[in-house]
Amino acid sequence: MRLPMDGNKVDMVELEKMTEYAFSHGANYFDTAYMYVDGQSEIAIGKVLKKYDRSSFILADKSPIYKMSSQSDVRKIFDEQRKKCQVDYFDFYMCHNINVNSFEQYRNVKMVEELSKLKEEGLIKYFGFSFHGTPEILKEVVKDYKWDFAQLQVNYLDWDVVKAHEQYDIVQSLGIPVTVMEPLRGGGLVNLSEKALAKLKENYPNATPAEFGLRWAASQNNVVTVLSGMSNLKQMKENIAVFENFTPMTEQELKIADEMAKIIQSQGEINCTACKYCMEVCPKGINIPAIFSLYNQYKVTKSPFHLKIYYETLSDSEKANNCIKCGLCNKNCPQNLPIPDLLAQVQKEYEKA
Amino acid sequence: MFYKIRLTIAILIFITAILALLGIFYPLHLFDIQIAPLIQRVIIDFSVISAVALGILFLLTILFGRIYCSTLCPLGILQELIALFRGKGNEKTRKNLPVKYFITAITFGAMIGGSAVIIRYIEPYTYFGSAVTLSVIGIIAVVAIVVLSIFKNRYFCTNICPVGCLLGLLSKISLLKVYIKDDECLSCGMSERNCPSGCIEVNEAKVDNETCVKCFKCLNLCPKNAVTYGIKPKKEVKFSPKRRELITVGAALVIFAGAIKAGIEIGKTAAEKIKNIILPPGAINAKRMFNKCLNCNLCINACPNKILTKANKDFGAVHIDYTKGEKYCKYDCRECAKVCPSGAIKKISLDEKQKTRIAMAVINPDKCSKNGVCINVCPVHAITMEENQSAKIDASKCIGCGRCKTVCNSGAIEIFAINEQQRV
Repeated sequence: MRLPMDGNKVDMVELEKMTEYAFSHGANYFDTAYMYVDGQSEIAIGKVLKKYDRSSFILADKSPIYKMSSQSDVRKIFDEQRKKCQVDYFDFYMCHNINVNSFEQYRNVKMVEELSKLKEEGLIKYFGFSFHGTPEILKEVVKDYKWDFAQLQVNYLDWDVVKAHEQYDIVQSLGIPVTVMEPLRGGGLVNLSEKALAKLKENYPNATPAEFGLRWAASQNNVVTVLSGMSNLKQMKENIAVFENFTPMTEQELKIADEMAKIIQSQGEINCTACKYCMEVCPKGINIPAIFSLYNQYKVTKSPFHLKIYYETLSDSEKANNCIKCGLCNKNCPQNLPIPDLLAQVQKEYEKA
Repeated sequence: MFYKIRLTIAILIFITAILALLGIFYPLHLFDIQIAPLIQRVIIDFSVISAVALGILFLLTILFGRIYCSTLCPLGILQELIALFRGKGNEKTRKNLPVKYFITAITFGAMIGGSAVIIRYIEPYTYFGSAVTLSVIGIIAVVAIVVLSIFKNRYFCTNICPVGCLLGLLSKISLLKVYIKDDECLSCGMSERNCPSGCIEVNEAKVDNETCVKCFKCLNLCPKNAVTYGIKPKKEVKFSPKRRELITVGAALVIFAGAIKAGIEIGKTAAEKIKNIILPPGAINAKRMFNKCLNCNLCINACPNKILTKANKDFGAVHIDYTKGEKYCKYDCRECAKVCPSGAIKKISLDEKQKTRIAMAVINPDKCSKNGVCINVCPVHAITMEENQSAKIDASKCIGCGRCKTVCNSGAIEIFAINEQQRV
């Protein structure tokens, strides 16, 4: 959850105004997490929501796995979070950021077992998970437990880029409802590149990128809610306006979104088509196309946060620093990319980011 | 007569085993017919030859009893040789404890499931091999077993060894048995006191053919020749298993099933993250090697360049260490693959070996002294050099044998481990 900030502190005055506006316009879902805004998010939202009737809003929180080493920690942290948010129960509670690495940790602390108990005790209404991994991991995740909902990164660019459509299909096939996060990709789909913006304006002169992105996400079936971080009242008003007069996207609009996604993807600095021929030969098993795709996204969004979060979803052996510069990949690359040099460049920028 | 013939064969085999492990002489590929490696080969490759060999060994056991333990197992023979230097025995009839069945169920179960990581820490052939090649675990185990055998001869064989246990079960139904002719026995106790397996009970004229390793010592010692080896005249025996036996069998089966499942799990996950280990050609990848190598170390001395190293803290199975011996893998050699009895190193042909990339050499152009010596030694002609430029390796040809690095005087060449062996 993004919050209005005043320097390092949450701007409580603006936050109260925003909350009031939200309530009066039918927005009542609040999504926070232990780690957001260096731990201030839960406290701020707790303060602000205190004066509202508990049944009038839906509060979603997420667990910090990095703070847990045993099953008993789950409840300890959970109680701490309830205290910070000043609530008796959470409507939605999530395993935060499940990916290839954290899933194992969640398993080790028996997270879901403990959450099931909390649910039985009425301290959680629904439990789910937020997800930043591959479809393969997601299959594992949904296979092992019975989840009430899944929070996925769904937007027209990630539909392809992080294979959100596959993720979406996986949970959809099991009838698990979806809450959408990052519908605008941390602002990446608001500040569109010139070409992508031109494509939008050429077809829909009155549409704004934000509105277009939000509507796209909300137009997917089975979506319970679309979350969008808002840093000020102005953004909130814009966002709420989109949903007050919401109409699902037409076929034509969806098609344009698809084309815009292709434009954004093709504008990456590294002209990799993800044919994966390099990976057939890489003796180190480096996930070259994934690394390049991350880098290209980073160049568009300029968001080091997303670069890091997704880079960490690669396993250690898939990362760029394993490259021994043998050059076997070069021979196989149809685009003639100087892959080892590019990997070194990505690695350098990643370390700086 | 039986005793002397068997002992002679056993001693010959023992000597051959040591010579083989030291890499001196290995004519019969003796270890190819050791039980655990054979079973493993049948599992890995569905090797028909191995299955037939295994079948023959089992058949021989069903015909003659556990002759394998007294004649082919080097660790068994070692215990016997130590015992030769002792005076008259003072063995007592030993109880047949059920622990070994559980050990057998666990070790073979896990191996059948897909991982030899358990059996390689208890298998007699592995112990012997790794002791001869001076691996710490092997030495400790063999010393412990030998010391134990001084107090209770062949205690390991009768009460711990999973291979012995397996063959013991077959021995129970063997055609030929050691038995005592009741009417001729004087109950002098000579055979009982000297039985290395502690399986004779003269008072009841009983021989436990399950733990008897068919050393035939008793046949020699009996003054009346009442102890006999042959087809035992049938007595009416009702099959009436005791409750305890049924429980043991049930428990062993449950453990066996559990061990198979555990073996599958270990086989899938063990050593998955180990990436920086160079393996002998045919070992394919670290995970496979880790799960299949029995650590008998037979290959270590078979390698003419002595670059193989036994399990250490980096990797729990045999692997290549290019800082050892001649520091490179010989191009027209596949000795390790030839001798590996367990199938951990696949028996690839020389042609395949020469096309198998086991590592990757990379030249650092900044350090290259441009003397070109590496070009001439590269067996696959992967290195080229243009006038006044640093040497270049054609990565698609390099098999990672490490030869170039041994001649480079400027430290420009590095040999990197790869995740999985590739065909070039």
